[in-house]
Amino acid sequence: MQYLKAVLCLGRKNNHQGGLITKAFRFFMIVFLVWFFCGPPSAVAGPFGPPQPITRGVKGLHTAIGYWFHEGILGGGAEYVRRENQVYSELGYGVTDFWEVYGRVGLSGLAIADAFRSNNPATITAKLDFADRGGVFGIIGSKLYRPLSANIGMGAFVQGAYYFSGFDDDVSGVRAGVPFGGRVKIDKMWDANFGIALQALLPFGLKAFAGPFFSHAEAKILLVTPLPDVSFGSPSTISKSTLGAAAGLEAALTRGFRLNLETQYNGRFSLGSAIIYTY
Amino acid sequence: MTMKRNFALCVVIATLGIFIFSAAAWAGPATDVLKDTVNKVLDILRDPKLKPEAAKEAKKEKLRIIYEKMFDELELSRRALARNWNNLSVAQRKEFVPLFRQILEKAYADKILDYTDEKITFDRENVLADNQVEVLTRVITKSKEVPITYRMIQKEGAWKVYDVVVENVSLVQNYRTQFNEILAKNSSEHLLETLRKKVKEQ
Amino acid sequence: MIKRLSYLALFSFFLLSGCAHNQAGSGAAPASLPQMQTVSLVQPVIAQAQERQKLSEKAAADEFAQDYDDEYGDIEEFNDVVENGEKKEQKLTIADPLEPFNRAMYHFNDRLYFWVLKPVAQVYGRAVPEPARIGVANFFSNLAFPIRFVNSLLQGNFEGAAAELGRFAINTLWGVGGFLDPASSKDINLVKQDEDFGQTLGFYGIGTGFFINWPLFGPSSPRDTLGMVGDFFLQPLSYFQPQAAASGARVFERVNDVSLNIGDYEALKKAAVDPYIALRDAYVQYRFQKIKRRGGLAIPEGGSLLGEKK
Repeated sequence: MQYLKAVLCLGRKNNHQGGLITKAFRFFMIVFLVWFFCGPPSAVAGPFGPPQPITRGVKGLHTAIGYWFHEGILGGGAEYVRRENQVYSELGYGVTDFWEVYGRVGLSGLAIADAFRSNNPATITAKLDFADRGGVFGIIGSKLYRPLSANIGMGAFVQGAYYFSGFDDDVSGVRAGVPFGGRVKIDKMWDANFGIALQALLPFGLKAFAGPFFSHAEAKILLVTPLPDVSFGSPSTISKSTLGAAAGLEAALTRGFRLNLETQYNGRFSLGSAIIYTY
Repeated sequence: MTMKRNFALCVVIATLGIFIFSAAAWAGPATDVLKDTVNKVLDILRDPKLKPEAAKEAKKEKLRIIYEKMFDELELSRRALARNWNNLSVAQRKEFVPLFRQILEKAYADKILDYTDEKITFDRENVLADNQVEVLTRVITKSKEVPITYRMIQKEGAWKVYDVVVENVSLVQNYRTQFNEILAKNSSEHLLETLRKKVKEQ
Repeated sequence: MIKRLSYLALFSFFLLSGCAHNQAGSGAAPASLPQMQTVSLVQPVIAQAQERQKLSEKAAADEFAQDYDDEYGDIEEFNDVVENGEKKEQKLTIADPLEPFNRAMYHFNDRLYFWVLKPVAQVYGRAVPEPARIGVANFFSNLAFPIRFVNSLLQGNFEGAAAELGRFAINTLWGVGGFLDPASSKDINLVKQDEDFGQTLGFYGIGTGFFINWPLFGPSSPRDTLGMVGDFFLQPLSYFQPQAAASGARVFERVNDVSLNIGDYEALKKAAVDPYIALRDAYVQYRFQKIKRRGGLAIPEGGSLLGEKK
């Protein structure tokens, strides 16, 4: 079993014959299996959007506002569920009909379940979850797209996020009768993602896209004074790299506006939507 | 013979016109005259042969020919002076009319030459009286949209402009106030002298 | 109804007068001066000008001879403006008791423009490309949303207020904070309601009063000055601390506007016989029309007029 895992995680060459669609399908199946066996993935920051540049004509500017609810798993020893609510504003430019660059600025809250759980029965903490209202983050990304036929195309994208402000939360508790307290700060959180997606044009001008992605996320836990026995109680760097899958729909609304819905799965579901205006 | 064929063509177009144009926003003959004139002006402004500096005078001369046909200088002058027209002698009136026209030409000739690809749209035509209409147009530049209304009068079959209203400011009204103020304190001869000096300076 | 009748009248005129006239009107070939057409095709432009001058002199002389009494005679009626189908005499005047002060301020503003504003704006214009400057203008215009919104409401223009709200939302959310102006694009087409407190006061019947020409701020009147003060409280910049920074922002906005409109003031001066009066009258007309189109008060004959703000 472990041997199988190792082989699959290291990747496989795909030598199948067949048409382009068959090839793509097989490729995705392999990737899916690899993902499935390699363990649950980690943090991602935001939707990717369709692989095709979002423009009104061949090239152009677009702006968007969006909301993203993210649930993922933070690694680093034990696994914690992290939840984020994000609101962001995006500005993107389709440089050509197959290349787009975009940037986002947004506000994000962070909650980590069981971050303050103690492993020692003698220590009791007032609350178990880390939660903070929000900090500012920025994202930049770029996409390349290649049409395969009239209605189908595929693309590759890269996206990186950086959280400019850290998140902090106070925790207090009692350890063997002695009260303690401290502030936990999660700082310098960033992630990098890259992936590919297949896009198909459905009837009524609906675009559907799906594909896998690879993500690597890191964050630093900082404390003024370490809190022993508490999960997030000692300074460290947590990081996780994993694979996930994203899928979404994009449709044109009236007067240059478009709607984008996307969901991602990497151990947990995340989803969000955005309203885009194309110039 | 060409006249007859043209007439027939005109009848056809005019008949079609009933069905094409709605009463709310129609473009009558006045708008056509204006459109034609404006297009001629734009052609001259866009002409690559006339772009170099040396051709500036030739360009202005060509434009002047068009302005002469486009504007009714007599109507402009009479309306700009209003009541004061009657206080001028006939000889003074005859001098005033071309002087006033020259002032306008020299003032706006350079401004028009600054044209660079702005779009001009003809929105609608309002009938003011039996022989007067106003044609609403817009000049769309990169940073703003300027509404310009041309008031036209029809005399002896030809439509000519007698007032230009730019962003709600009427040219005729503006000059009327100026001339009123000057003539309230000075003689008509003084006004003409001022105009002669201005034409020389410009 | 009247429009339809006049349409028919003009239409029949069109038919009856014949297309030859229309052709002449559209300038394909001036039927009255056929010689001109051949001349313009053959000779160079300057020589043509001389010909034309001779011809027009001859034509003018003919005209004088014919229409001596008609064209250059006295005017009997002074009804030149048509309102609601009626011909009326246009009277748009404003009292100017402070004329010496106003003229002095006019000269001050004139110097300020030519010695300070214009040079700075030109340097700024060379350094910053035009799309960026238009973006800055859009940004400040978006920021002035409360003024337009509140004053539209105060004038009962609910449709306009809704349009303003829509513009603000769309331009802020999808226009990069107001730098771009998608709300003015053809699809969305929400019209900017150019309202201010001075117009609101005029809407409710407050007359202009007299003409005041402020240094720095330009043409105004007591009512519009009150309007400027009222609008000051609706500007977000006014609540920004420190106020020195807010004033700096306002100066920047002014320089940016001047850089986009260099040439307008010079054209006004060049065209005017008395530039001070030209400016005053342009201001008066501009404000009057703005208020009138909102259904503002009717102006009594020769009565005081409404001044307009920038």
